Amino acid sequence: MQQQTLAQKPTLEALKRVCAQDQPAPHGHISLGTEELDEAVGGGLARGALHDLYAPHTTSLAAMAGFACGILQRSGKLDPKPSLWVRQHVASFEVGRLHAPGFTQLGPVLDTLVLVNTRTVADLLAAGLEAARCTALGTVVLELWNRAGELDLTITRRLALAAEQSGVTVLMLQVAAQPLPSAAITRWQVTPAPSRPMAANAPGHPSFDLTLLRNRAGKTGQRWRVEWQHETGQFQSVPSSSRTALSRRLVSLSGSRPVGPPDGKAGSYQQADYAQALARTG
Amino acid sequence: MGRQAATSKQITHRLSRAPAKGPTVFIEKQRSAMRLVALSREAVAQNLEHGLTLADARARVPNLVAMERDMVADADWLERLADFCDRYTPLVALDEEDGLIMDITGCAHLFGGEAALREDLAQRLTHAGMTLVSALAGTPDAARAIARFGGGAIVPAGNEPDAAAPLSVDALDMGHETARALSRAGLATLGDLASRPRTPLAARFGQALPTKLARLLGEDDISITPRRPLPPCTVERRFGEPIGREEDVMATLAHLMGEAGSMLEARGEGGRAFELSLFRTDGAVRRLRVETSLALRQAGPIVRLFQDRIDTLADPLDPGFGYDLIRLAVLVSAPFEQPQVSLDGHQAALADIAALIDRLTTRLGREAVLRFVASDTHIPERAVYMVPAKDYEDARKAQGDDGEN
Repeated sequence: MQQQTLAQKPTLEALKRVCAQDQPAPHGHISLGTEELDEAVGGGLARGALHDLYAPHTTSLAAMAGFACGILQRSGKLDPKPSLWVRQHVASFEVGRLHAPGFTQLGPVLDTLVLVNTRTVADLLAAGLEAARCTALGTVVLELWNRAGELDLTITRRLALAAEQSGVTVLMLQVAAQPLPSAAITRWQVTPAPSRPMAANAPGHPSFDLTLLRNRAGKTGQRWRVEWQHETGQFQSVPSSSRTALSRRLVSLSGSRPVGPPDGKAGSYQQADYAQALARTG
Repeated sequence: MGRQAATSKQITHRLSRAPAKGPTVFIEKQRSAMRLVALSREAVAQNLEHGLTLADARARVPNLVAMERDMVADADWLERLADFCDRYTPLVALDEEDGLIMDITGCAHLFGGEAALREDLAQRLTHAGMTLVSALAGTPDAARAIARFGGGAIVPAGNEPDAAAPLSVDALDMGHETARALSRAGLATLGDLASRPRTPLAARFGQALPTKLARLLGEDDISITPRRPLPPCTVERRFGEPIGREEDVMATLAHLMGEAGSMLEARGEGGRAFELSLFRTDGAVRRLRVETSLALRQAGPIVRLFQDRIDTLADPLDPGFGYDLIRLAVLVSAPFEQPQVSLDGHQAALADIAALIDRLTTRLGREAVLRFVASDTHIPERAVYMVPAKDYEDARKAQGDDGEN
């Protein structure tokens, strides 16, 4: 049968196409720096593909952005191409603007980063699609603020196809949203985790709790706690034995990083915690 | 100067709104009374005059239609007329609140001579319901005075002293006091002034008067201050039969861009900002603008940017009865750097990124596509600032220069 197909059009192009279908990641992988994670997703995050990142509630947004920064840095190490970060205008008012010096600490080189602010989700997706088609880019980050009605299988499939064709890695960040069906290859839930203090109680490395929700290359449902080592520029998993045990839930008054509640009732937990914290302090 | 003046002609016209019906006047509160500030022809025929109070005017003409003057609307209308006049010359200046001055040096032959140009202008503006008084002369001041105080004419080159001589001294525009002082001295017209020695006039009224007089008599020429700066490169296409379809507009744009590209190539330059002006037959003008981060002169990318611009317009293009003039202006030009083709494709990648940034900027706006520039300071919140991605290279260069100093 296959001989017949090749006989009909015996070109190198056709052969390449057949081969490409069998190869899961034609553009290679972005290693995250820790073997456990890389193995789980088949050798690292596939380049030239769409990946979903979820933050279960708004307080996890910074952690999710931090994780995305780490991926940008890992990707940039592999191939120093510029990256594009697209976010909605409203996000700047709700959670603040991106802080450039913070970026450099988490990895990406500022020279290679282009920031795009859009008014609407439709603009954001159009800009993302345009960028995903530009072969000169390394990674595109799309940060969606609202639960986007425009976001459906068609647009995610388009993004995935564009990414596959151009070799651009697309990270779709969504906050306070239930995971919807999408054409992404992997989907991660990112929540903040307490960091391990260093010597003399110095602040530790940024830590993340990761849950793999979707994975084309293997199992799903694994959880890891990783820290970002900015000296070496890699994620490192934290063994469960060395995790900090907290006697009680710690809520920071700034509202930037309460430890996430275990289930989906984010709003009520947060409010209760906040009220408690206020009662304690004042 | 003789022949020089022959081609250096200015045109001025006075505008007044055509009346709706009946004796119509515009009123404004001046010196604690509602006074007439603009009058229709019927109102003038009824012996009403400028500055009369509304109460007095009503007493004389009971069926007077009085309307409050709207300065903003007047200014807006004048701007639109000035836009319309851009079709004759790129140098158009506003003159007070009811006049325009155009420098038509080197433009008149495109319209078949000065008289034909004036005729065309009069015809189009009359068609739009305007009353027009216009004059052509060698200097802007002479043309303005002849239009405003002499009823308008075409002054042959070098004939300005004769044309200006019968005008009253009010044409000097030096204020009421000066005009009264001159007429008390028996000097009623500019001709009277011109025949006198200038030094005593300067001693009595200041140097401004002889200077102004010289300009009115065509002895001293100044250039007007145009509303819009003169672009480094302009190409245009006129249509006998107006075009209205977007495809035709885009095809014309591609042709124009080809022409502009070869003009830029001859100078070794490329464009950084482009403006497409669409002149409708009814006088409305629509302008679209795109900017690029690299100097470009190929038609393809520019046409695509304009297409993006048109696709994302909040207020879509309305061709009305069609466009009869399409003009493409290169607003900003810069030295064109022919990139050296490198084997690793780095240059091509840079050009791709620049093109992507241009498209996103065109679609989302200048302030939406940003890049970070580090700044040499220890204040954390100022350590990095954001610039439009389009201007990134310029900003970085500027920052580098600062750092060295």
